[in-house]
Amino acid sequence: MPQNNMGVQRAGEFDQTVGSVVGEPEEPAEYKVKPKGAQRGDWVEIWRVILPVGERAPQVPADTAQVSLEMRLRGFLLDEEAVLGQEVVIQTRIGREVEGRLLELHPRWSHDFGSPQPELLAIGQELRKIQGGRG
Amino acid sequence: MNVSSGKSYTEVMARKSEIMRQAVEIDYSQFERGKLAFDYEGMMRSVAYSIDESRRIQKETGVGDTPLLELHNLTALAREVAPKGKGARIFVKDEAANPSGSFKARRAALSVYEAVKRGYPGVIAATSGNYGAAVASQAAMRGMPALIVQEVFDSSGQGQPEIIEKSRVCEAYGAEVMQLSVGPELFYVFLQLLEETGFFNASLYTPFGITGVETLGWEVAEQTKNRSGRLPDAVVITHAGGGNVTGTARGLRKYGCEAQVIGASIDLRGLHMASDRDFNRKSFTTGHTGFGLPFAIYPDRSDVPRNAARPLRYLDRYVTVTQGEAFYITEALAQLEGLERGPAGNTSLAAAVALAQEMDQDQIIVVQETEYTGAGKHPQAQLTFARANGIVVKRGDPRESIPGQNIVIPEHPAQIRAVNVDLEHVRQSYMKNALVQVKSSELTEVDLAFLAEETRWSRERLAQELEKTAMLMRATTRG
Repeated sequence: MPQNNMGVQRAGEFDQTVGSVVGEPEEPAEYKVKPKGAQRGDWVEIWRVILPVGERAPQVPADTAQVSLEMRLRGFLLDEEAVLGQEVVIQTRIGREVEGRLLELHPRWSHDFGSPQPELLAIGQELRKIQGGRG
Repeated sequence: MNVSSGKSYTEVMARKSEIMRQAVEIDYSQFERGKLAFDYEGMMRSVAYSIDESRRIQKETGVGDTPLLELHNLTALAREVAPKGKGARIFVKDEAANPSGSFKARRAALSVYEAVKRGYPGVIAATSGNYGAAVASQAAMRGMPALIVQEVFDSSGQGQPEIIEKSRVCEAYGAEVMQLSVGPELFYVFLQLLEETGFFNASLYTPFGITGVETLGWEVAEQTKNRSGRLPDAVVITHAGGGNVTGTARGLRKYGCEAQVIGASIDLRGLHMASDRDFNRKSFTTGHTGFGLPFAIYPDRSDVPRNAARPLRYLDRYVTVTQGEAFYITEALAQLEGLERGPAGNTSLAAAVALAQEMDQDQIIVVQETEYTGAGKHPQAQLTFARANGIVVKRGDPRESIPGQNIVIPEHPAQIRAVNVDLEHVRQSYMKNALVQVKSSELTEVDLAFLAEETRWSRERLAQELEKTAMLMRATTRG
């Protein structure tokens, strides 16, 4: 199947296989047509154990000694195709080639501004009141 | 590429000195003196740059010359709760205006400049703080690859929003970001990467990393003088690894400013920095006592053989504030001064609001940094994360704070306190640590002079303390 014809054809294919995108506009369509498999050039995240339990530094506290030292790294997939959990090789942003297990396809940064905190919301008006009743 | 052999923790650590020597090309051995001393000023003179040179290099990439702002409304607030006639004018150096959003751009500017000058193929830095973004940003400007190694997540794969933002921003500047789980073996990974890549170690603790901050101290003095006609009476500096305190103080002194140098850290005593469990039970990932105390007591524990950051030499006073107080002040800065800045940079501001109340109204206290804010690096994000990790968040008296258990947001500005850390005790701990390596009876004249400079003790006082420490250590060995 041709993969390079991104325009009309891909959009039509997308409608049939996945359904409407209404309500999820932030996910690019081409990500959804291959939800499980990653292909060469995809931006992915790999994972690897660097020091297993038993090989950690002698000075780590007991709770840390009971878990392995792990690494996560993002880059472009060099394997032609791969599924999650598979051993793969990526090329990082600076061109290093690193091996690891495929952890995520198209990893996103999901940190945000959190939920409104009542303990903080009150502060502004309290301070203005102290400063002359402007609150 | 360098020849490397074994990859186990002990094998790599055994090659530490050689790897580090190649990665900064500073022959630290030429500065070694006596049994434990080294020629600190000699090292700073021969390796690093003058203020003028540093400023010129920083200017090339748009670093420095940040605005000095007077915080009129926070000053008024401090005066509301201060004794009559008290409440110094509070100024802040808006370091968030640097290219990567924090004062760390100053340190990175010199390190990356040096890496280019010395012909390294790239730069690498081990940091979960703003320094990673600074190195990545400076490296982008000078067309050099950057690799940033960060301690990001615990064994459940969960990371603090503040550090995740720092990963994101490094990546945005084109750096490779290696994210690791909790543990001091980050240094082991770092050493392997230095061997593999042959990159320059853009350590925070080389002479370049410290002289980069001297321009900040210089600007604080110069701008305060130009603006108000007088030099600052006190400068408050968020203290972690010691570079911020050391560089700022050296810059102030070089300008001829004798302002009191006050370090401020978030009080995280009781939490173990290398604990998988404790890792996500703190909301501040730097600027806290978990770095501030160990780096004061044992500065040479860093990633270079001799740390150019020697905070004990410069600290006139060292105080702590709580996580809740820093969050409160972050909110106050946004709401009263119209400056939304990151919480970690506001550690020294929280302290300054309390310290200003001890000073006269015509005096000036300068907070020497702010940092950028954004998703993750924000009180709301951090408190949301804290709650999810079982931390109790409540309003109340910050004295009820227990790091790792609760975060107490003050109910009133009068509750904000700068709690003194006993620097004499810290110096005694420094001494005890120094004497683990060398018996006091073996110390030479040059060692004694060095220890006196490190502790700021008179020679008489030093002799007394040496005897006391030696006695204590003998008792411990016997027991």
